[in-house]
Amino acid sequence: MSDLALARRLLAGDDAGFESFFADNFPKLYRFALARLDDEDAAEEVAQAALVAAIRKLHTYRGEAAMFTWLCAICRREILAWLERAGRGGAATVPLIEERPDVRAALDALAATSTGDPEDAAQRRELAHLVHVTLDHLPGRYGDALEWRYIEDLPVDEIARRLGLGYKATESLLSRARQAFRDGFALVGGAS
Amino acid sequence: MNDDPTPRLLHLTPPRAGVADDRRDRVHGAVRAEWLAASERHRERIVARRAAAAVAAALLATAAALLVAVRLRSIDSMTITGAPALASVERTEGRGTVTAGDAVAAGQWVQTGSADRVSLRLSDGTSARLDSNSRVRIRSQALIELSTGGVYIDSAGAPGGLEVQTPLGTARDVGTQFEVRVQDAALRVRVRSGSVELRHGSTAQTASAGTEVRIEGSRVASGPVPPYGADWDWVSAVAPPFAIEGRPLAAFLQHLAREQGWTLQYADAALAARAPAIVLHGSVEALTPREALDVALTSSGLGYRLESGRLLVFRP
Repeated sequence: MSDLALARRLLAGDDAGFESFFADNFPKLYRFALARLDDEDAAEEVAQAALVAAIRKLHTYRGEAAMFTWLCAICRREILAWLERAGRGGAATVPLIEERPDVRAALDALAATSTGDPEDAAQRRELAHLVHVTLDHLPGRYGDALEWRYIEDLPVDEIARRLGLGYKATESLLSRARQAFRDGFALVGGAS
Repeated sequence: MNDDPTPRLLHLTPPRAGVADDRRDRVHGAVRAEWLAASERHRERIVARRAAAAVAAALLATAAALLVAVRLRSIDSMTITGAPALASVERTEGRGTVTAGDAVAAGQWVQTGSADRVSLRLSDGTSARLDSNSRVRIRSQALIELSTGGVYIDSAGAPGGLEVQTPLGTARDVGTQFEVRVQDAALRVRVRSGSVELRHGSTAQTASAGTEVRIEGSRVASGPVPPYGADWDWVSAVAPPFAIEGRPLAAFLQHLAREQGWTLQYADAALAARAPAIVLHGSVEALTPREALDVALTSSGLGYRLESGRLLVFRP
């Protein structure tokens, strides 16, 4: 289902559509805010405010950007507003890892990571964050499927059960998810 | 796939931060509440657009419809009102049918079929509405006899009380809205506003607004009943039309609230003072009460919330 179709289902009062929207987007939006605020309570407050604002202006969503990208744009404004209220307005100007110029270097290190473990712990944290950002920006359930399979080492049949798919369909989804991750990860680096 | 670095990279990455259940539940509740409200607002916007189209259509409706409306307003004595309306009447010269605009003489029985409901207007202004499968006789301005089915009385503004006699008891009002129903050897009286004096054999009791009294044999039971909701839908379905053209918004809202059993409130005193000066145009004759409300308030630049029988009108 496209993001635009999901938006229309939400506007039509479709309950399953809302639950899918919330389950897919809230954890990612919470992490998006947490990475920028480093405060779990603030991240909860900001993610909630962003989702409420998005719901209110859902009728303006035209599907020109991915739903999560659109939500992130709203969340950025909520983060800025929160920082202003907290007297931390200056903090908003500090770029995040995926927005910093040195992200290219991190991506270069990523290539090395694929052939050997990085020794630098700080760099590893940065890389992990980039991976998480990429996973969060993948469409649909790709991010969850990849995390379950390759980070949590869940068997394919368990992932199939969680996704409500057959075994073959889940293998196919994982294949597409890996491709999307590779493309997305390259974009994250390229965008910087 | 062996050339794909993705699995290896992901293996080296810790899981993404999870969200604690209590945080998730809190946010879920808040966002869901907003979504429900937004869905309702969206639905109302669509209804308002459709209703506005219906108003336009109504304005272009046939002159015949206007003539019917004029005729209904001109009749003032025990008259079948509302449209469509059809009932049979028993006269001394035999059985016949009556429809909107026909007069019914005192002493005649009026009966509705399974698909019919009618509204009768007495000369003192009292509105008596007859549900389907019902049979009543207007004995006088002060006395209606109900043998079976249900009748709803709205005697607002009428100078005297009205009695509804049934084989199982008599209900007498003093400026009120109530329903009397005779069904399956039981008498049920529901009071929407004001109070009703109920006589059953040698006993008498008073039922106040929001009360339902049920008499079956020697058993008398009473309990609360909301003045609004689906139980009263049949009453508004057969209500005489309210012509909004040239009428103040305040009068329309007051009429609608009374017909629906809602409590009307304005968000502030300034708005309450302004409402009588807002003049409506067009027609809401073909619309449901909610559609009519949408049209009237949208065209007046106002919004509303309807919760638990309370209609709150506000400036958006």
